[in-house]
Amino acid sequence: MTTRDQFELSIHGRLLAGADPTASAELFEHYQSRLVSVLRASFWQRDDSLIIDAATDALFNYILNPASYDPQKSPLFNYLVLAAKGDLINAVNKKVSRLKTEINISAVENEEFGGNKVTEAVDTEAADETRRLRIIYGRELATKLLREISDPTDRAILSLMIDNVRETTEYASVLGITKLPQSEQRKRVKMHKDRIGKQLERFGKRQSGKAN
Amino acid sequence: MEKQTDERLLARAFKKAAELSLFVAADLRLYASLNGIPNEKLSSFLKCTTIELYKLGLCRRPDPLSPSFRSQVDKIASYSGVNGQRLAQVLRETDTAKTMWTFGNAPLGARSAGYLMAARDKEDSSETGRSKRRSKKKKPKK
Repeated sequence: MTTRDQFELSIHGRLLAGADPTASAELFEHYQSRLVSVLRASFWQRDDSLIIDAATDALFNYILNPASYDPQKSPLFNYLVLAAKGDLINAVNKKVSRLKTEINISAVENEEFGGNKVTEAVDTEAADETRRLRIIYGRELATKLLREISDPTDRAILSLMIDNVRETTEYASVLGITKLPQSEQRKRVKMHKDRIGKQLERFGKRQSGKAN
Repeated sequence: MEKQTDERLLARAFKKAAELSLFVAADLRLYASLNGIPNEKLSSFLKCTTIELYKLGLCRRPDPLSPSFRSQVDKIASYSGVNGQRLAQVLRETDTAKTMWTFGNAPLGARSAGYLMAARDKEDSSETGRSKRRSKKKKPKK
């Protein structure tokens, strides 16, 4: 039996007994950082706080209900990784649907109050971006996507799109067009985003074709 | 670098633990708010580093009424590196506050309001008693 196995069994027993005051803290000390590293390596997720929260929640859930883990089925760390991955996927899905709702609301507001065309166009793109987020957070897909979009500038634009950045200035600075008039910046940024968007759509269709 | 990352992760866990009464972090937060101590000064009060404070917060809170309270406090203090006497003081004080709070059945910020309500009730009942006595006196004898 390795030292790690011994630690796992001992900590599980101590948490089950419920009387050991330091067991929960030792669990965090032992697993939290490793758990976060595994999640970071497995998911192409730019929002690091979601990853940290998923790892932290998985540990708290186990501390509050240690009987949910069966040592006969898998090592404790694997169980925690699985739980944290589930939490992370749920959190990402929630974030995506929240973004979608926000975008839908702003689209309705624009319709009602006659918002200008540029804002509407940006919002439509943002809706597409959130759909794309769903498609591309898997690591394997992300690698394929990076192969697809090889131009460093396009990659930088894509990163901003995935992070749901809306400010034209951010894109303009990546494209090196900050000295142009604002209307021209907006036009060029939109052109680039449209092109990358179409590339993503083609990529998404190809991937879903392969999956079917 | 690795140490910094760990501190950030533990800080996040500490924040979450402070919302769960099972953990010492919840008592630390309560103690800080009762005594007007900023969170960052808690570590100097407990004579420990920030990381040690986070580790302390993630420990399960011992029950001050339990016979094993002292030994559990010692175990936590030696694990997390904090001053055991100060920790016992924190836990006893927060436990007393929680007990008073439960009896008062009012949120902590409204403890004084709870006392005022009790005083008012007492006043009301004595007023009622007085008025009852007065009304008894006023009753004309037949």
